[in-house]
This record gives sequence, C-alpha cells and structure tokens, in this order.
Amino acid sequence: MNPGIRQWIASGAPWVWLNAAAVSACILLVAGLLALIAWRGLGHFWPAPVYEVVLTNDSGVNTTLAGIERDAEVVPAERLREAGMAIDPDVDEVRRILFKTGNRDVTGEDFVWIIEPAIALKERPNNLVVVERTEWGAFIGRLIAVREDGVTLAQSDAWQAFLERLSRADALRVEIKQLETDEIGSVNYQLERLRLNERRMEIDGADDKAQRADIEAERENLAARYASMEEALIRLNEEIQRDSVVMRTADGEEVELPISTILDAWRPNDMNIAEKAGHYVHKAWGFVSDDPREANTEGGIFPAIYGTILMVLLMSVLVTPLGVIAAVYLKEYAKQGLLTRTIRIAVNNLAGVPSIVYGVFGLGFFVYTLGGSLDRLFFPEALPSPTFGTGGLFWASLTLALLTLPVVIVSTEEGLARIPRTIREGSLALGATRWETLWQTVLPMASPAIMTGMILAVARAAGEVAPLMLVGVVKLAPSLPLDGNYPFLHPERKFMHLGFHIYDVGFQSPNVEAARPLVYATALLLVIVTILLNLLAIRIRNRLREKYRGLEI
Amino acid sequence: MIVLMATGNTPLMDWNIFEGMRTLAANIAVEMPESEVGSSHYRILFLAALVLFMFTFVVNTGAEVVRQRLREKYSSL
Repeated sequence: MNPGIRQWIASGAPWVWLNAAAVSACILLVAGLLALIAWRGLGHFWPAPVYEVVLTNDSGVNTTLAGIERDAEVVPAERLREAGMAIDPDVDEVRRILFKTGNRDVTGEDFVWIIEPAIALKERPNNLVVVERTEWGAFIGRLIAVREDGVTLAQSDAWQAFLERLSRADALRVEIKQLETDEIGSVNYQLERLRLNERRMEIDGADDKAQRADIEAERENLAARYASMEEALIRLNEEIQRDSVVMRTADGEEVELPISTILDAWRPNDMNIAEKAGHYVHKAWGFVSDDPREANTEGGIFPAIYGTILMVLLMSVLVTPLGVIAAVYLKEYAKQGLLTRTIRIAVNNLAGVPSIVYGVFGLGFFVYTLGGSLDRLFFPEALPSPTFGTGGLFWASLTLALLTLPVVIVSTEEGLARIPRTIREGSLALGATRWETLWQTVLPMASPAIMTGMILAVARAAGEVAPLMLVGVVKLAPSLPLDGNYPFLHPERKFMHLGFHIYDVGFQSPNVEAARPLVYATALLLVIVTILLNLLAIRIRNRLREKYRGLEI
Repeated sequence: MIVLMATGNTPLMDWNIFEGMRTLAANIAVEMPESEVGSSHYRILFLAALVLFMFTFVVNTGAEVVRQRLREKYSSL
C-alpha cells in the first residue's frame, strides 16, 4: 500500500469522513422525507390544467374524454401486449398517463390510465369546468345552461349566472349548517340531558312533582324552539333546491346537477397565475378548516387537527404532575437503595414497552374496568349506552400520559440532580422546612428540565397512533370534544386524530387514488402540528430558563 | 404503527424477507377493535400483549443490568 494512504488511514481522518457522511445521509433522509411529503401534499390544491383528449382504439373508433393528469409512468410494451392491447411490435416501452376524469356517477370510474400512442388529439379548451360536489367526487365537463325552478335562463353569460347562483347557494348552505349543527344540535343535546335527569330521578326514586313539572316545561320550551327551527330549515332547504345547471361531459352526455350539491366550480384553463394562487390559498384553507366528506376522501380535516391538539394538551396536563411527583420522590425523599434501583429499572423498562401494549392496557383497565365502574356509579341513567365505559378523549389522554411518563420522570430527575447541594443546604440553613425548600427553590430551578421532559413527551405523544386506535380515536366523530354546549369539555367523547386519519384514508379508503394526495397533505399537517406544539413548549422552557438564570451557578 | 402500515399484515409467513409478514403488535392493533369483549379472541389478544410485554421486559432488564454493571466498572475511572 502507498505509505501516504497508510498514514492517512492511521491519522484517523477516514473515520471523521465516515462520520460526516453518516450525518449528511441522516440529514438528507429527513430533508428528503419532508420534501416528498410537502411536494406530494401541497401540489394537490393547485388548479391543474384540464385536458381534452381524443383516443383512437384498435378498431379506429374515437372516444373523447376530459381530465387532469395525475401521474405518468413508463411501462414495458410487452406487459400491455399481454393485457390484450395492440401496440406496434417495434416499440419497447410505452408511457401511460393516469387521468382523473371525475364523473363517477356517469361513467362509474373517476381515474383512467391512458397509453400515450392511443392519443390522437390533446388540447386545453378554456371552457372546461371542474365542479366539486358534495357527493360522487368531481365533475368535469362544459357548462350548457343554468336553470331556475326547472326553467332555462335566457342569459348570454351562463358562467356568470352560474357563479352568482353558486355564491347564493353557498350562503344558504352556511346558514343551513349553522342551524343544523349548532342550534338544532344544541337543542338535541339539552333534550338528551333532560331525559337523563328524568331517568336519574326515576332511579333515585325521588319523585318530586315540582321538579318533574320543571323538566316538562323546559322540554315543551325546547320542543317549540325545535319546531320553529325545523320550519326554518325546511324553508332553507327548499330555497337551496331552486337552481340547477346543465353540464355536458366530454363525450357528449348531458347531465343536470342541482346547485345545492355543488360546492365549488372553476375553469382551470381560463385562470391566470394570480387567480390560480387565490384558488390555491382558498383550497388549502378549506382543507384545514372544513369537515371531512365522502368517507374522509374529500373535504377538510379540521376535527382531526382539533382532536390531536386537544388530546396532546390534556395529556401534558395529566403527565406532568405524575412524572414530577415520582421524580421528586425518587430523588429527594426516598433512601437510595435496592427499592429505588428497582423502580428506576422499571421506569426505564416502561419506556421500552411497545406502544400497543399501552393501548391494550388502556382498553382493558381504563375503558372497561375503570370506565365501566364509573358508569355504574355515576351515570346509571345513561345505561346501557356507556358514557365512560367506551373509548374517549380522557382515556386516550390518560393512556398516552402513561406512555410518556418515563420520559418526564427521567428528565425531571436529571434536572433535580443538577441542582447543587449548597442551594438546598442554604435554604435549610435559613430556616425553611424541607417542603418549603423543595417548593420554593428546588422545583423552580428544575422547571426547565421538567419542561424538557414535557417537550419530549409531546413529541412522542403527537405521533402515536396504535394505542389510540383502541382507546377512543374514530375515523369520523359526530361532534367535537370541546364545544359550546355545557359543560363545554366532553372528555367522554370519541375524537379524530391526524395520525389515525392518515392510516384510515391511506389504507382503508374506498377510493385510494382520490385520497392519496390527501394522505400526504395530512402527514405534512401532522408534522407541522407536532413542530408547533414543540415550539410552544420550547418557548415556555426558554422563558423559565431566563427567569431562573440568576440562581444558576 | 409502522409495522401495521408497512409489513402487509399477511398471517402466513415464509423466510423470504421480501414477502409480507405480521408482527405481534400489528396483530393486536388489527384485531383488537373487532374482538368481542370477554371472548376467547379478546383474551388471546391480551395474552399476545403479555407475551410482547414479557419479551421487551426481559430484553430491557438485561440491557439495564449490563448498563449498571458497566457504569460501576468504569465509574472509578
């Protein structure tokens, strides 16, 4: 070997380079992961151009279809020949394109693979409209006419008339939604509470005439309110049914769509960059602020974001006192010996237990044992339908608190160990009791370490899904766990979670192609939510550090 | 969750590392929501969780003992 190279190896420089390479590989992997998720997820909301293509099949028959290019790949021609397609014998590879054609109600499928050699004509006509609907996915076609009460409007600019009627329907839809979910939902909730109160009285055997009359009066009051709201709702529903549009698909079929089912419509080929950007922002905002539709494959993910944040916050509130008390006992009060060593080993062991085991424990102990007993003791009026005896926000937070407990204990203990003996002794020498020393000097000085533990706990909890599947996360929750109905926080309710949403949409969705970009967008949001929660905790920690800097030596 | 998404969850396994497989954790996660409370299936899944727990417990305790021993050995340095 060349003596120069031997010397170079002996100097240790190759190992430094190896380390540098490993570190850069890690950073590249993380950056690549984020870039992939961001690229796939964020691109979804951009209004992609709609193409109209004319396809010529083997026997020379032309078919026309319109759609958005979603994906393209090169496949060996051999494979397509085996599938029965006639392709030139001298071609080895064929590019094929995945088109999102929409119109699932008309053609039965909304994605088509097209092989490039079959395309006879491909153009981007300006008048192609993409319609987002409440059901059946997107519709792609041309606007023919706008109808009011079944009568076609004699208007020159049908598109403008359509847009006007769409914004009218939008306003009505907002009104209907508010009436349905907020007001009627609130009345229903109060009626249910009255029923439970009455049932409770029956169980207790306290037949108080006055109270019963009160309940009856209240119920009649609510029923009257309900009746008036129902009337308003029927009127609104009639009003929103007024308009409809006639659209023509690319292959010439005419379809009438009620405007009440249309959420949005745009002509991507006719938009300039500024309009596209506006549309993008509008769609992205809709994604984070709307409720999901169509088995979670369309619409937004607001309830999932809400549930994730609420659960993580509740988990932090539950885990911090438990972890801090345990650490203070281990470090300050307990005599170091076999017992504390066993406890430490147990804590470290807990950190290594697979998360699904916590989920099973939460289900078996919290939900069925604790929750079942709570139901029998405090909510007998609701039985047999369980209140706490089924998965819910509280049990999920408690399970996660258990999962992240070791992290908080270990980091608090380390924080306590860093505080010099002299501070404790000084405090005791000034006449403070042991408790006062702990509460007034030691714990405040350890608070940055406690916050570090909480940051780690939040980071771990926000991404955990497997145990939550067992203790309260559902794919679609009917109501939010924190709302305007007394007592506002409903810890027994089931909730939605971003991580589970990703799993559900990505793996159990009826329409995988349509849902794929949403999976990436949701994953990106989960990363963002986790980072935001972490930043919040880091800010609090830095503030605490700043506050107690003077005490540090 | 990673194993649940990425292993394919096939109940039949062979030694080919490119074929699907199913881990204890994924098995519990997939089947637990469908099992009836108190049935044999439910209890078997709890047993699976116990096996998983025992396995990690033994490994972790071993690692912890080794760690403490090493710490004692080198603490004099």
